Amino acid sequence: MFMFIMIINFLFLFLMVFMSVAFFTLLERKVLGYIQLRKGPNKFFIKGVFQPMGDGLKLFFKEVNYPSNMNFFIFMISPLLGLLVSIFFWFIYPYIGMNYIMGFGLIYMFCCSSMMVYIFLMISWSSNSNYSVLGMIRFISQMISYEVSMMIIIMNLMFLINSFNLNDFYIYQINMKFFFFLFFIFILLLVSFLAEMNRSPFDFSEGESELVSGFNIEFSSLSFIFIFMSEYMSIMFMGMLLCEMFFGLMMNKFYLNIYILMFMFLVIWLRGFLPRFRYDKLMYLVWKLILPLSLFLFVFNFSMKLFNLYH
Amino acid sequence: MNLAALTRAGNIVLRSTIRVPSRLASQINYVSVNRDDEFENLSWSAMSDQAISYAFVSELCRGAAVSLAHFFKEPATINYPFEKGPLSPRFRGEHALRRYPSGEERCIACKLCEAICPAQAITIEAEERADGSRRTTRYDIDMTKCIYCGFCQEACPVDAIVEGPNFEYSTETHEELLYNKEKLLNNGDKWESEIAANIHADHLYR
Repeated sequence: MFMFIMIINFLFLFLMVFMSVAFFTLLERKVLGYIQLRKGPNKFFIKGVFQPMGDGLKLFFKEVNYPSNMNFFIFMISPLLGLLVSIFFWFIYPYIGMNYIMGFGLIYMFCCSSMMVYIFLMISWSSNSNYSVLGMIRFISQMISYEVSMMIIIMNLMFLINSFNLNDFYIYQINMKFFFFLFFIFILLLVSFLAEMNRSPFDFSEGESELVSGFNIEFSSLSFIFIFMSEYMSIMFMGMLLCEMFFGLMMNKFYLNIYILMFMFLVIWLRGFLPRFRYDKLMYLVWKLILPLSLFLFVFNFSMKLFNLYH
Repeated sequence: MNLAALTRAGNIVLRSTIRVPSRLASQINYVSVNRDDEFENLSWSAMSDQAISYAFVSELCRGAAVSLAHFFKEPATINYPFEKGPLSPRFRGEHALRRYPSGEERCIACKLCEAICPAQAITIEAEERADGSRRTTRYDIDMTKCIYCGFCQEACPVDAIVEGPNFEYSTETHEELLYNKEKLLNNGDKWESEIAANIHADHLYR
């Protein structure tokens, strides 16, 4: 019975995540449009509400591109694997009944986000294209660099709540939200997440002036949909993580969704006004600024914990 | 006091004391092209202002505020096939041959438009009509050659050939854009009220 409820729970969750990915793309187009004083899609079906379905259908019927000398099996399977790993992220989010809570959820999250690097490596390497390899080099070096600082920052928070469990953030923030007295860490983590999610201003794998489209250039049709969806799913997951960590919300309550929506708006809004970083500046930012700061915080929190100063 | 300024001052001192071979003088005697005035001779208040704006990312916040303000503004989109933007009376769109109110065509086949047309898009043949007046037998405009400069309109002494306000006349074939006299006169009949209003609105400035 428990197993059955769990399966229903996650199936429902994945369905909802897929739906929200679709409408997230619509939200992005709409918000970016209004920031640039134009309307987004407003024609298709009911005032453009079903535009993402139309886009998906269009992409689905596109021709599949087979680059010469590509690694066929990996080329076909890697976007699917990317989507799978992005789905795996969501296992630490108990949706309806709090009936499946992963005790080492954050460690599991680290594993999944490290796994994503290999997926992107497979995606770009298998397509046998200079452009995708260039995009991959930039993207993966950025992703690995920021993962280090991201993990250390999250480790700070794990020290604070004394647990690896994402749900325990709620217990430790009933009276005071981390957002207010760890605002600095929030900013650091937001920056690392933006780089990790490959979003503006750190969207170097998609620098269209120097790379054509980055690591996913050779992909079309369904494979492209999978890559796209996995990116947007990880954005939403990061949003969920950040909201849960810094606002300490009950995981199965509706208002968490409102916080995630606000985070999604923030991410799109940042895309609306921030120009792309320079690549060397990005690397300097993480290795010279964010990593030392997070290491300092780590040592500080660790020593505080060691001498029991938080209790 | 900063390092760049010091080195420049030191350079001047060095140059005055040490004799430099003339071959090397041109290499040493440089001009700093990208001298950054905002980092030199900074007063303390200006320095603190800069530090504060840097620390609180004021430029970034301003950008965020501006983009958020734009988000709530009304978009400038015109819903095109249903809404159209305003057109000037001087707008140069599709050509038309006009008629007098009596129904007589204005064109007297003076061929000034043909002469002035820089793209040589106009072809005119003229003959004497039965009542002795000079009229065109053929008046063709190749709309794919035309550059819509409006010189034909300027040149015409009787306001016969005009460029009307219509800009939606795309076709699927090239041939349909080779306008003959009949098509142009039809255009004139169709758009006469708009053309007349435009000419009236603009006649003081011609």
